[in-house]
Amino acid sequence: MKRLLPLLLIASAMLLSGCAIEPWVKPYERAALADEVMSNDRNPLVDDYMDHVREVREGSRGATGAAGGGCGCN
Amino acid sequence: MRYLTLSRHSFCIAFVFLMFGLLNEAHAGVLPEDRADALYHRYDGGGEIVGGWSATFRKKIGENVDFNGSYDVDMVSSASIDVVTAASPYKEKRQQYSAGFQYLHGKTTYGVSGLKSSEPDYLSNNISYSIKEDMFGDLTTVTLGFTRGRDHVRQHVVDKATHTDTFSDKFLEFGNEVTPRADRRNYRVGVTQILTKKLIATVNYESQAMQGFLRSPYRRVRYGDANSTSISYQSELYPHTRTSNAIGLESRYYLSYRASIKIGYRYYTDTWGINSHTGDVQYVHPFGENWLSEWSLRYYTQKKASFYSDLFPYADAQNFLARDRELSTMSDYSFHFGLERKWKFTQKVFVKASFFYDRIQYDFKDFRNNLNSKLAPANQPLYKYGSNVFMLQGSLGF
Repeated sequence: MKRLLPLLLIASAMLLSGCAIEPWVKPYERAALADEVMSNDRNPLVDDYMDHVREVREGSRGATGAAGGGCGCN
Repeated sequence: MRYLTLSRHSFCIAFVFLMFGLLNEAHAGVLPEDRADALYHRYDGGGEIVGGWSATFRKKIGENVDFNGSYDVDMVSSASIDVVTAASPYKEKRQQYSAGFQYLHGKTTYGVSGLKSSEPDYLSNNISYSIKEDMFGDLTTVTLGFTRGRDHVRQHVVDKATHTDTFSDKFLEFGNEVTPRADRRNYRVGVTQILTKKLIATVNYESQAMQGFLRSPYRRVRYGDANSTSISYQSELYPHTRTSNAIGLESRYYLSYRASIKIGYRYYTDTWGINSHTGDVQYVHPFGENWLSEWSLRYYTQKKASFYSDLFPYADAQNFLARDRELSTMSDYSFHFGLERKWKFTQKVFVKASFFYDRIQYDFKDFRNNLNSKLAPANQPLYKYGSNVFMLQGSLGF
C-alpha cells in the first residue's frame, strides 16, 4: 500500500491535469447551467439581507454560500 | 525513510502536474457584469419592526478590475420580549457601508473589501480578502476567503436626573473591569463543481474564531424557584472565546421545461455546545421570457448552548450564564416567495423589479414567555412567534 500511494498520487494528478484539457462538460454544453434560473446569486442584496435576518435570530452562522464558491459556467 | 523520500518526490510531481494543468488553461476568466440594486426591506415579528433600505453597485474598469460598494440603513423599533422584560422599548438606527475591488489575472480573481457598521451602542469594522480560481476547464471554482472584524460594544444609559442619553463601555465581570471589544476571524473555503450538463453542486466550509466581549450588556438571566413568582435577575456572563465550524452543501438541477430545483443542507457546531441542522429546498420557475418566480421552504433546528438556562436555581449558579433565546433549544421554519419582472434592452442592459415575501415561524423548546410576571416560571408557556419579511427591489444592469 505504501508503494502504491505515490503511484496513486501521480495518477490522480495526471487525471486532474487531464481534466483541465478535456472537461467532461464542454463549454458549448453549458447553456442550461448558464441560464439565470440556475444562478445562485441572482439577487445578492436580498440574500445578504435574509442572511442578516437569520444570523441575528439563530445561534448559527456561516457556510451559507454568501462568500462561497461561485460558478465557473459563465 | 525510503517511503518518506518517495512521498516527497511524488508530492513534488503531483504539484508539477497540478500546476501544469492549471497553467494549461488557455482563456481567461471574467468578472461579474456591471450592476446596481436598491432594496427596501421590512421585518415585523416578535415585537420588533425593522425597516430600511440597501443599495449596492458594481462597476468594471477595463476587463480586469471592478469596484463595488454598498450602503444599508435599518431603523429598529424594538419591543421584543427581552426588551420589554428587562428594559424600555427603544428606537435606533444602524448604518453599514462597504467598499471593495476585485482584480482578475488569468483564471484568478483577487478581492479586497472593507465594511463598517455603526449603531449607537455597537461599532464594527471588517476587512475581507478572497481568492477565486476557475480550474479544470472551468468545471471547478475554488474560493478562499478570510475576514477580520473588530467590534466595540457600549451600553445605552439614560441619566434619570437629567433625562439625557449617555453611553458606557465599562463592564464588570467577577469584580474586574473587562475590555468592551471583540475580535473575529472568519476562514472560508468554497468549491463549486459542474457535475453534468444540468447539475451543479457547491460545498462551503466556514470557521469562525471570536474572542472578547461576546454578550449583550443589556440581557439578564433569571433565578429562583420555578413554582414561585418571586424571581430575581442578574447579568449574563459569557465565555470570552467562541470557535465555530459550519459546512454547507447545496446542489441545483436544471429541469427540462426551463426551471430549476435546489436542495441545501448545513451543519453547524461550536465550542459553546450549539449544534444545528438547516435544510432548504428552492424551486425557480419562469413565466415567458420576462417573468420569474421562486419558492422556498427552509427548516432550522438547534441544540442549546451548554451554559444556557431559562431559569437558574440560584445566583451565580454557574461560571457562565445565558438566557438569550438565540442560544436556547429552538427551531424555525420559513416559506419564501419571490416574483421578478425583467425588461431587457441589450445583452447587458436590463431593468428589473422584484418583490419578495418571507414568513418565518419560531418555536422555542426551553425559553418561556415571561411577559406575564404573575405566572410562576413553571406555569409560563413556551415562547413562539411568527415574523413577516417584505422586500421590494429595483435592479439595473449596464
